[in-house]
Amino acid sequence: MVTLVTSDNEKFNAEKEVVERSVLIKNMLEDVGESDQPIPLPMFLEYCEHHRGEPLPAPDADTSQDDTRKRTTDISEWDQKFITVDQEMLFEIILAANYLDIKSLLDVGCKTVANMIKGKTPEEIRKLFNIVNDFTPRRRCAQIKKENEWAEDR
Amino acid sequence: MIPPLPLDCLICILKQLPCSRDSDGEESVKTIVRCSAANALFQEAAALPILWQRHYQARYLYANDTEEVQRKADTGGNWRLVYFARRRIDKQVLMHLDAIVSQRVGRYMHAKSVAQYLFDVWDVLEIESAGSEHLRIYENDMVPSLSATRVYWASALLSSISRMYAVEFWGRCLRSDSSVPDSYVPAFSAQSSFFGKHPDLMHTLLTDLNSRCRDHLIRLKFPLSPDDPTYDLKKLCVLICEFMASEGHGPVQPHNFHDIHNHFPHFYLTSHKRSIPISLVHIFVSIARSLKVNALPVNFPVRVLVHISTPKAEDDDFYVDIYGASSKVIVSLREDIPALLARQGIVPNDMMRYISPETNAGPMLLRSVRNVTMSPINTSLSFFQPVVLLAYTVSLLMTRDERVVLQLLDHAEPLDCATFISESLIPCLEGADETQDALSKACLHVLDDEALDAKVIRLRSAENIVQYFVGMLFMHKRYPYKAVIIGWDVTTEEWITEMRVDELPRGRAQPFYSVVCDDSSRRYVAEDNIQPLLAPSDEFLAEMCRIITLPKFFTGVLKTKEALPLGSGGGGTVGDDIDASKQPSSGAKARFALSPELSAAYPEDEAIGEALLIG
Repeated sequence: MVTLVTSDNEKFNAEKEVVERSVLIKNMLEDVGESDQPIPLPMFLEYCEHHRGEPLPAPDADTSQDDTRKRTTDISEWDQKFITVDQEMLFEIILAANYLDIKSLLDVGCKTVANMIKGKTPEEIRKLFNIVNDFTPRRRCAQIKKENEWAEDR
Repeated sequence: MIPPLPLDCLICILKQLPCSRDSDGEESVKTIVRCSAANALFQEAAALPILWQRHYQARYLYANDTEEVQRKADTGGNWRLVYFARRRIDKQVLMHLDAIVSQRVGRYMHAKSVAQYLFDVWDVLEIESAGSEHLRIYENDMVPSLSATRVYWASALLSSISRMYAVEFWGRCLRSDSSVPDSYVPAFSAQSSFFGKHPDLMHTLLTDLNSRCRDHLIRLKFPLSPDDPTYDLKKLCVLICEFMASEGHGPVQPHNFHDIHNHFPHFYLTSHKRSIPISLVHIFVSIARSLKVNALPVNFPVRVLVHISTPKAEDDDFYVDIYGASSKVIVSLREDIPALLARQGIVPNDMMRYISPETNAGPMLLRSVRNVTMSPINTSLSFFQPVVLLAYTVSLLMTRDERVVLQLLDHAEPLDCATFISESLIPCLEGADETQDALSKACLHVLDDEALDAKVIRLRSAENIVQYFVGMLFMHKRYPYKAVIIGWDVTTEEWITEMRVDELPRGRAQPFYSVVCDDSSRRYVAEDNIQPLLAPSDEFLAEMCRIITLPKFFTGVLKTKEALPLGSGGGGTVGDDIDASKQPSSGAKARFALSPELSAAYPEDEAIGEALLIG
């Protein structure tokens, strides 16, 4: 059993086998050993509980063919439901999955965002990500434009 | 408050965009490009070469080797820049393709420009030709898309490119200073390139077969090294024949012997595995040579054999009869061969020329196309044109006989003249000056005629009354066929005499129509012989839509929604002779919608057809 503590000091108990889906927590547990020391975390237990028992991705999975194929398949129904949250929560989940190093959750979150940005203009993308156009004017823009000429619609 | 995402999350998001050759993949790369214009961090994410490697490998399967090496060198191996370089070429090609589809004037200059890129533009053309190649039926008030016409031209360009490759490759193999070792197998495979098949396709089919045979022999624990004391070359050849039979590559049934499919690798390696001797020999030699057996075809009378040269000087070379493998595989040099030749009336002194192995593919290709020209070919065969082009191209390359020039050009389209004939075939005839000169002149003549024809606009006038319109279906009054009109004209003297036009009610003083018949052949018909068919059956329309050359002339079929009551059809200025009571009673009316090239040449016909449909 591992005790997990959120940033607002709520405590959860979970099985080690379940939370090890996070590479970060797995490494932490290995570092601190079998101690009672609580580990701080944002929310992710529900996700790990659901995927209990599924094989963890191999460390070098990023370049393998299987990974590419998996990436292009659809999101499972449960994951889809899990990730149906408002955009702020979605980005928080991505950040947490990235921080905790849970590849499958990160992929699900990013796939959802990828579907959101399809067909959007740069301006709509900025709005979605709450970012500003920070290019130094003229030269840089001209260079991008020239490079991307082929992609303009005929 | 939406939290900002760091670079690695942005990269992860962009990596989730699917890579493919279809519209999904296209949307993905365009999304990445638009993201790169959002802000500096996104730009950094979108510039990641690995992201582009996946998209590159999904979209681009082929390239010219030299150009690809050069591109990788120029870009320092950066996948993003290599991808962009290819897309810039694609964009050029798409502009040419647009021009080719949209107008006949200047078309073949554009085609030449596209074909010169060779395999660097194979992928983009393959993507463009992925749609349906058949015309669709639309409701009358819709505007047909250009897609089937575009598919037609993209496919035609692919064939031009693969033909250029084939002719150029054969040219290199045939030169006396031949720099292509082991050319027989790929040169024989290149016949399929006349049908628009990429050479890699034949190569892959053959190498798969080679490796399956090797695996089979390894499973049998058969020694494959000549140094092995138990190595048995004759037994090996027998086993290869058995393997081929187990894969379905055996002699064709006698009643199918003359089936034209038996001649071409893309058929006999896939759908027509039971085939003729020359084709089975091609497969056998490919497998045997992959197993380091020195096998070559022999241009033997009656049927092609394989010559096996033995590694040890003291052993006699021998022959393999793959076609006759079920009775006798190994044919001996000392006993069987002289007996077989004697049966053909060939005396021992002449033997050598019949039993020498052919290191060069030339004689085998020539034998193959001679077989083809002697087979009864149905002219309505969908691949009739590639077959005759292949036959005459090979004859011309091998014989360099000036008389073949005219035969070739009888069947060549302007596209062929602008691409593989002028770019590959003429240069290959270097040294046969008269033939080369004749072909250059004839080729130019075709293109000049085409350039003049392309500019002609046909309008009706008081003296020039043309009753029917381009895109109209009709039945021939004298002969049992149906057809669609693709053009009209005043005609030539020669044809008038031949077709007994003067016996017609109006004799020669009437319009004549170019038509495509239901068997896909092209004909020329006098107006008096035309019985309009305004309300064709759905089955007949579907049959016409399957004719592969029609998308060149039309973009689709327009059909009215409801059948009009009997007797209300026809009418109008054009339809005086059109008796609706002769139409099948069910019929909604239909006509073919003109492609841009025919709209330009017959500016009035679309409106006339439209008026008749609304009736």
